[in-house]
Amino acid sequence: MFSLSCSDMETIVDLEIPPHESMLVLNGRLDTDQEIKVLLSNSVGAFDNNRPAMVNDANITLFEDGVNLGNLEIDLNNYIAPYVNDGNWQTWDTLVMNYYKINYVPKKDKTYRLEVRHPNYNSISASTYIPDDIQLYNIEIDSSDNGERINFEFSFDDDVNIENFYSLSIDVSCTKVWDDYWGYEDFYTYEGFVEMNSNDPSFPINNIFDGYTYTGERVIFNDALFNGQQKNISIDIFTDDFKYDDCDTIKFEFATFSDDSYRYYNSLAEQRNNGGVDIFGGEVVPVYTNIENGLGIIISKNAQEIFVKPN
Amino acid sequence: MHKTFFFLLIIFVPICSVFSQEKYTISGYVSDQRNGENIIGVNVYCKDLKKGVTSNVYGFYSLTLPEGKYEISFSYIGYKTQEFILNLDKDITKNISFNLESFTVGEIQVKGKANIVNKTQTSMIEVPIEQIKTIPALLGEVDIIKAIQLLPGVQSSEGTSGFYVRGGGPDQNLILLDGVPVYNASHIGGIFSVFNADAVKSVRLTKGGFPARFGGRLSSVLQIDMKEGNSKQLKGDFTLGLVSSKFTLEGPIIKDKTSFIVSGRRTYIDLVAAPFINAASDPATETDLILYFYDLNAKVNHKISKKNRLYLSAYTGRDKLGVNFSEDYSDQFSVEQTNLNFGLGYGNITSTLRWNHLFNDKLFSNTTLTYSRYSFNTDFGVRSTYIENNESEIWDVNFGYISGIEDLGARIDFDYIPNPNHEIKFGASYTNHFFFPGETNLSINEIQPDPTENFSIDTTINFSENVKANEMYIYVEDNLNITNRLKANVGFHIGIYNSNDTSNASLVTNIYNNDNWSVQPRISARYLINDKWSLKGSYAEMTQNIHLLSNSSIGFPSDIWVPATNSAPSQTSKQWAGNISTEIFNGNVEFSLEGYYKTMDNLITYKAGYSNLSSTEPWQNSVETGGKGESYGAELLFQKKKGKTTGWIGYTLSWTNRKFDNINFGEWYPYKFDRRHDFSIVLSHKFNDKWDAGATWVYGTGNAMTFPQAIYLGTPYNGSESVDYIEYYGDRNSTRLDPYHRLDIGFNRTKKKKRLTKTLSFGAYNAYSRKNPFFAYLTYERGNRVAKQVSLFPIIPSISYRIQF
Repeated sequence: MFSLSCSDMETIVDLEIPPHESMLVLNGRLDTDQEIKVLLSNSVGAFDNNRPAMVNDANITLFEDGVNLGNLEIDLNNYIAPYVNDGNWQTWDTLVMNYYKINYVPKKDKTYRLEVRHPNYNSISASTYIPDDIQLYNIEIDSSDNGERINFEFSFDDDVNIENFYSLSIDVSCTKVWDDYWGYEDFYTYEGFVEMNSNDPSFPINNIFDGYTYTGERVIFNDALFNGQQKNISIDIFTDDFKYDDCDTIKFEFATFSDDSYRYYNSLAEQRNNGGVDIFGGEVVPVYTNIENGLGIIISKNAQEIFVKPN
Repeated sequence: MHKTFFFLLIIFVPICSVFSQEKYTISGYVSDQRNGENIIGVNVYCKDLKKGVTSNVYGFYSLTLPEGKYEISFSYIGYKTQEFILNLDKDITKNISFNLESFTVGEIQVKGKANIVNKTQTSMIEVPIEQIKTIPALLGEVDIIKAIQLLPGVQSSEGTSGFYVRGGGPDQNLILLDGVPVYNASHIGGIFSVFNADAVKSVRLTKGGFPARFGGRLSSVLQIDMKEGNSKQLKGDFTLGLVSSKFTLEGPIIKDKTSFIVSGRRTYIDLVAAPFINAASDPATETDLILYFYDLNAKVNHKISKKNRLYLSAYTGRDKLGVNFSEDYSDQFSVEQTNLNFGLGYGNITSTLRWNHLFNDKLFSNTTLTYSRYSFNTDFGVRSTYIENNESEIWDVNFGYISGIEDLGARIDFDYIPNPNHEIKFGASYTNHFFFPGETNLSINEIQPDPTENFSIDTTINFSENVKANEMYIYVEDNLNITNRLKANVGFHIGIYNSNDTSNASLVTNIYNNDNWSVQPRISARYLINDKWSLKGSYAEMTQNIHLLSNSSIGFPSDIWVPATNSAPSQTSKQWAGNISTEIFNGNVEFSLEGYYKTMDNLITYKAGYSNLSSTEPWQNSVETGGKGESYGAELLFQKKKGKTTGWIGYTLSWTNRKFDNINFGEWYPYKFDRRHDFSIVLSHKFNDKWDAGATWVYGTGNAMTFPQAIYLGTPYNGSESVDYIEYYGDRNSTRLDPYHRLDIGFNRTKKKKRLTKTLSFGAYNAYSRKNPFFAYLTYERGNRVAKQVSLFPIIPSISYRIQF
């Protein structure tokens, strides 16, 4: 009865939503290993016939710890043309996007601020802090379980003064060599991230049946449970066909995010996972923005690679 | 604490002092002559001294006066007023049996309590059950909660039987069936309520100005008292409806001493649908649909002696939804059989044992033992058998989930009426709560031809720990006449609470911890401007020690009750209300205008994006705590209780907001059920002895919801592969759905014969088929982004046939 009623009772309506004045949208990621570049576009009302468009004639100024480093310039000679996802993959158009760039690589432990001015929009600004390096120590590898399960343990010290956000993944390159049925040498190679298993209480819980609370290729976690303390992490990897000795490269990709980055990716993922407005779900998750008077996100990351093999 | 007791002493000690003149008491029970049911709220009045009292919920009254000869009247709307000249030179016991008042043909007279002008209490509405039965209802099912939703100050949502009182959540309503809390009052996800009107005697809703005897919820107390059963003669009532049928049987076991009532109801949508489902199915498959609810009320009461009465009542009701599907496949080599079943069920069980004891003609007590349990469960199972070459493989997977709450309670209440100027109530209550917020069982059995390959697992997982909690309170209140014009109800409700989440120690060892105590002052006052106008005011503080975790968009039977803990402490509220009341048109119409302001603290809600249907997180990790709420507004009520046409017109103007640190950037936002305007007209008209009709029309501002207001570009993934359109929602609940309005109509044709009364009822819910908004979402239509609204019920006609003897 419920579903029959619903199917017959859907109508298009004009909703009384607050009017939307188009805003500037600033997006960019400040990494310690590449020059700064950002994208600038505008927002449009939910029922607007137009789509968001790039804004290529704005004035963008960069500051490092309050010091003016100059303006970012639009690069009209190079562009990217990504597919546009409206959330339901209803549109398959590509969009030409030009970056604003400045010939400057950001540094760790610095705060960066971007100010944007345009005659047709309200001025906007954004700040982000690039975290300092984290030292990993007490790295131990136990592959004694017949080589089928490798246990990695390591420690690091959390900065008590900062709300820290971390990401961890393990990248490997392994080659297995064996003799086939006819005695010829055969081999199989795997390059990429491996699945990690852990019961660490700081990791999200996404598994309850395999004796681990977390299983995945990249874990993002914060320091809420160990703020200012030494943190020990233990991870199991099941090697399947490969053994520890088959791998010539094993490296930890251990990154420290800005608070903004963590909130942005988390909120975006949650909005996507929950499918926006949904009668059977909870309330929608607004995507986090750190742009004052505007929308978008300026995020930062200090990524480190720690080689277990070759060391 | 010491200050509190000192204050109580100052207020209540004078009651017991200085009674120099000899006084005598007239006391007894008031009942309905036709069926022996006790009558609540009868006015017992001494005209000579202008003093009076009202009968309590068990029909007991006590009036103490100085020695003398007085004219005492017993009056109650709808019944013949009885007057006696009594020579009060000794204590007198006088039980009164009321007769229905005779009135002209075609006139309705709704039975009810003292008029609105004289009542001390603000924010309390009694809806006579006779009136509820005349209100047109969805599919003809008379529904008490739906009737409550038509009152000013009560908001509701299409298709749900939850209600929202003065900005409070659905968990903030204490629903008491014969004094026992009912935790989920809905059938079929909220389309019907669990209360069978045929078994109900009275319904009272208190929205504010709570007397001290009430506690445990912030926003309202809905008291539903079951009938005691006709103690004079056997009576029956059968109703055959489109989707359900019900019966009520009541009568004496020992005439005028012991009586019973049994009432049951069951829907039969599944039985009606079964032939159609099987006709449409593949012959190799078989599908059984289970979709019904039932409820059963039973009560026995026994007069042990003049001073002792016992009542035993019970309710059980359950909703069941399930599908059993089986499929057989075979060929010359193998046989394969698959059975799949899915089930969902939820329901309440409550029971009450009461003992009324009269210590003397001034002191009445009621001792109650209660049990209440609400549980929700789902189960899913698959069994697959594959046979080939006389060897079989069997897969058997079963998944089950259960959550709920179970209460055991005891309370004692005293009514002490030393003289007409004081009606003192005091008592104590203890409840032991057992919360089981979610237990999952999983079993997998695999049987292979080779036994070494068999596999078996059977495990239980508690995503949230089971918790026990103790809740106790004591209270004292006095309904006192300060002058002939000024009357007040003053009281204190003192609660103590602990749960084993906060401490493993018992309530007794925690009694000295101040954090576990709450002192809740309550006061209501009424000032008679003249015989027809009165001014009233009230202030009440309330504490609620349990929370309901509910998805904010719609309430489900899977919503989980959880205890207050250190991280999610008890909710509290403060409410002020002011009221002006009068009677107009010769007392035929009551008018009341009431304003209120309520604040709420320590509210909780699910974190944004959280859905309790899909998460495995412990509930403590899934909620935002420390929320604040505020609600204010004005309520207008015109109620006509006499004449050919009866009913009411209600209007509410209100604002309701919420504030959580991590929602809406810590700013205030409108609550989902913030409703600026809420209007209702409820009318019943009796044309003659055969025909009567009812109609209701409701209008409400659309619900608030969070809806996309803009779209913008996100950060490209992996540098350049793709980029998201991101929806910008603006402030929480900043979009309004369309207004809600609906007309329901119903007609009854009654045919009275010597022994039987037959009634044919027919009507229509949503008579002009308004597509009311239930929900809206953003989607694409021919390449354009549009908002689509989902509505639940178009016009729904109903017909039922009722036989009473």
